[in-house]
Order: sequence, then structure tokens, then C-alpha cells
Amino acid sequence: MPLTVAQYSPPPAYVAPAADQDDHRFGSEFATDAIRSEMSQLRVAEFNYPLRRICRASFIPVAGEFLVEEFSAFVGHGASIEAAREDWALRVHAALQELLHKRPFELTADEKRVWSVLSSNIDVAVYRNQMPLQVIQFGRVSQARPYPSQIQWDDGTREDIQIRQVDAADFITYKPGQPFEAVVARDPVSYRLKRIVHIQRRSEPARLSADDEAKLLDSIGSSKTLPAGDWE
Amino acid sequence: MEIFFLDVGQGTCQVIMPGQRKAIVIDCGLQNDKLVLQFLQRTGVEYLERLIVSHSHDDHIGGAVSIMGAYQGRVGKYCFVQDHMFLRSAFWTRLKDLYANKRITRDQMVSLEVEDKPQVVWQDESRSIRLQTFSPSAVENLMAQDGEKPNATSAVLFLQSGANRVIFATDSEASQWKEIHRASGRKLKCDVLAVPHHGGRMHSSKRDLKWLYEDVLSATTAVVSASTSNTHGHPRSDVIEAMTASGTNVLCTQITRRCNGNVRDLEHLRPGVLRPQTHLGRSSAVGDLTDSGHSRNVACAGTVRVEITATGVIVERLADHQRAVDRLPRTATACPLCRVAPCVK
Repeated sequence: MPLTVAQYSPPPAYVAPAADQDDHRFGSEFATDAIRSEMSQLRVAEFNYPLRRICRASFIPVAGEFLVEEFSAFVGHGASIEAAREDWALRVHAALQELLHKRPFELTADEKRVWSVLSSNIDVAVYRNQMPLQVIQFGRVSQARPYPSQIQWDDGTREDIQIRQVDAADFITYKPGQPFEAVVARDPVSYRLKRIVHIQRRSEPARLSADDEAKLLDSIGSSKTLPAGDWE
Repeated sequence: MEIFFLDVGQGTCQVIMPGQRKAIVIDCGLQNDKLVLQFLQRTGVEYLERLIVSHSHDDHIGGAVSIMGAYQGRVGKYCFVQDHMFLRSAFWTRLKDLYANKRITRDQMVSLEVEDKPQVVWQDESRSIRLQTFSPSAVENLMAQDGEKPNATSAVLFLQSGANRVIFATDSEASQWKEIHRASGRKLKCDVLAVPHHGGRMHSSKRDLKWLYEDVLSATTAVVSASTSNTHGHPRSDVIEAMTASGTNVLCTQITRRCNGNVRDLEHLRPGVLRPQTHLGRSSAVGDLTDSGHSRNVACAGTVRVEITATGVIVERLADHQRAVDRLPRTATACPLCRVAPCVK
């Protein structure tokens, strides 16, 4: 069965306080007061969003609302400060992930406003350059002495691999020539292999015989089968 | 809609992005090059409506195999030209493997060939967008196969979005344009032209060139995809002159020795003539030298982004780029071809 990159499901959120602060600095003498703190980074599971500046966060216990001055479009809700903060972080994470993959011309006026808030506070370029790309690749083990140490991808390129870069215990048992299908995490800038996050053996791919290839070539539709256009 | 003219070095790749995380890829850059794949992933493309290779030269078909692997099961149609090198290409080997293993169907493979009229390769009727192929004709294809000239049977593609036009000329030759001109019976106007054959030779005489850019094609902006260290002399000065003479704005993805003869001098221009580079491209931000110490892959315009809006076509940072080129010092060896400005001779 072909591999698919796993869909994202909301993980727990973490909003780090400013470097010189700890969570216990959230505090107030009066339950009705807003509890204020500063925030230097936003991390949701493995997603780390670098903030352009330290942001000012408030939790209003009576309303159960978590607000960050710089992110005016987002309000987190929850009975406790932790719950409200997590809700806020997930809202920001969801909005950013949705807009990040839209092209600028696809954004509605509302989305442009939200994107403006997000991109003015989160360094999106740094985020993009940090988050590994996940790509489905096909290849085979090209060297195993005694364990797999080199891979040949289906475009002919070879890459060295270390066992610790592969998140699959049985990869160590792959023999030279073993074809496989993998989800590979690559550096978004250098495109170097960081990890193989999923891998599965494939059977040796079927090949067309010369006769079948000739038949296929004869039967491939030319663009004559496409709708006719015009010179206008 | 956006169109990216990718800086893939001495090769060609254009990516049309109609939205909804879809793309149409026209040519795939160099052999074993994963730059196009990297670009598609970084821009969040999930589905390729069309993967088109204009002909089987490595600088156009080279990066296709890695894209075919990564987007397996997520490509609408594979479009190609059956030139004499096609059956020996890694692209065809991969395509027939996909077919043999039932990962694609025969209907997903389209051999590009036109008869009397252009054919619609892809369209979005709701937004009046369509991509047509104008060339090669079946006869041109056969002649090019016999003569073993893949360039002479390169696909020529024409994108229309409302009143706006973009022509992707790939490596087409003057003979194909004669046929297009004969069949269309008129001058083709476009907002952006991907210049044929990296601005290199595709004509047999200066008269051909003048005829092409005066009587056959008229472009507001033209993009040349060529690398700093190319040894083919791309782009040719007569090609750039013919385009600028007809008022076309010319952008090259990389600065070449045609504009700066001393290619050892170019390091100070990294990451590009206009800084900073905003899109992924082959021209890197660090020194990239040949064995003989010459700079290679130094961006001029780098990857060029064009947006087609309801009101017209925007070539991103065109004026800024032209100003930056105008600010380059003119010396005996350095004189940008694309700008009409006095040079020290």
C-alpha cells in the first residue's frame, strides 16, 4: 500500500515564558485581576515558532481568557491559565498552518489581516528554514556491510545512511538490493537527509516486457485526445 | 494565479500555481536535481495537475524522476514529447514502471502533438484559465526524430488567464515558430515569455530573429533561464538585443559572462544583483565555484515570480531589479545586455 505523510493532529501546546521568567511568575494578589507575563517563544509539540519579539500575555481568571497583546486576533479560553494558554497556542498554530500553505493570492481580506498579525510576530522565514520537509521516496539499499549504510534512490543518486537516522527497528535487517518506500525528513535549506521517519519494504517492482512496452507506446493517447483549443 | 520561473541554473523549469495547493510543472531542471521538488514542497504543493516535459534533454527532463517518486499517485497527467531520446530517458523508464506496477493508468500519459489546432493541456473553466500546446505538430515531431534534434520538437505552451497571456517557449526553434505563425495567422502577444533555448541559438540568421520578435512574438517581459558558468554562450547578445529593441523587459535568472566577462568578479554580487533573494533558486548565498575558481550560479533576477490578478500581470520586483542592474558598475568587461545604458568599451 502506498505511504502517505501522516496528517497533523493537535498535540499539546507549550508557550514558553521569557528566558528569565518561570511560570510561577504568573500570579496575582486578587483573583479578578489579569495575570500578566511575558512570552519569548511559542512551541506546539515539535513545532517551534520563533517570535520576533517578547510578547505580553494576560490571563483574565473571571472570563477564563488568555490574551497576547501582539496577537490581537486570538483569544484562548479555559478554566485555568494552563488550559487557556494551550487553547490560545493551538488556535495560533491552526491558523498559521492553514495560512502558511495558501498562496498570497488565495487569501481573503480576513485571512490577510490574520496573516499580517501572525507574520509580524512570528518569523515565518526562520520557521520555514527550520522545519524539515517530509518527502516520499523510493529506493533500495545499495551498501550493507554488515548493516545498511548507503541508499540508492530511484533517480540514481546515492546517499549515506546511519542506522540511528532511521525510525524503524527492522531497517538493520535490510539486505543489499532491498527495494523500499520511505518517508524522509529533509533539511528545508540544504535538502540533506535528516531522518527516515517511516520505511517499508517493497517487492521487486514489475517490469514491462519489450512487447508490452511497444503496445503501451502504440496505445498512449496523443494530445489529439485532449480538447481542441484555438489561436485566440 | 502565480507563475514561478525557477532559477535552476543551466536548465528550465516553470511552475504554474493556480491555488488550492496544486501546481503544473513545465520542465524539471537538471539531471538528479531536487531543487524543483524542494521548491514544490516548500510552497506546500500537494497535487500536480500536470507534469510536463517539453523534450528529453537533461536540462529539462533531469529532475523529473525525483518529482515522480515524491508525487506518485498525486499527478493528474504526465505530458511529454516523443523525441528520439525519449525511450532512453529515465523519465520514460520511471513512467513505464509506474504503469507496470499499476500506479498510473494509460490515460494519464499524454504525448504532446498538435494537428491543425492547439490542444488544451489543462484548464479551469470557472476562472477562464487554460494551458494549450501550440507545437510540435506530428510532422515536426517525426522530422525532429529523424534528424535527432529534440529542440526542434520541443513543446510550446501558451497560458491564457482572462486577457493575460504567458508563453513557455522551452527550447523551440525558429522552424516551429514559422509553423505556429502560419497556422495562427497573426502575431502572438503575451505579457511574459519564457525565452526559447535559454536565449541561445534557435534561429539560422539575424533576419529570423528580427522576424520572430517583430512579426511573430510580442512580449512585455521576457525571462531567460541560464547559468553563470554556462559554456554555451547563453544568452546571445543578438537575442537580447532583438527583444529589447521591441521594447521587451528582459530578466535573466543568473548573471552570465555575456554581461560580466570576468566571472571571477561576481562573488560580491551574491546572493544576487537584487538583494535579498526572496525565492528558492539554484544561486546560493555562499561561494559556489568551478574547479578553475570561476563563480557559478550567481543570481541576477534569480527565481522570477509573476502574479496574474484580475487587473493584470505583475512581475515581482521588476522595476527594483532594473534599477539594481542599472547601478552595476560598467567596465570594459561588465555591461548588462538587458539595459540600454552606455558601457565602457
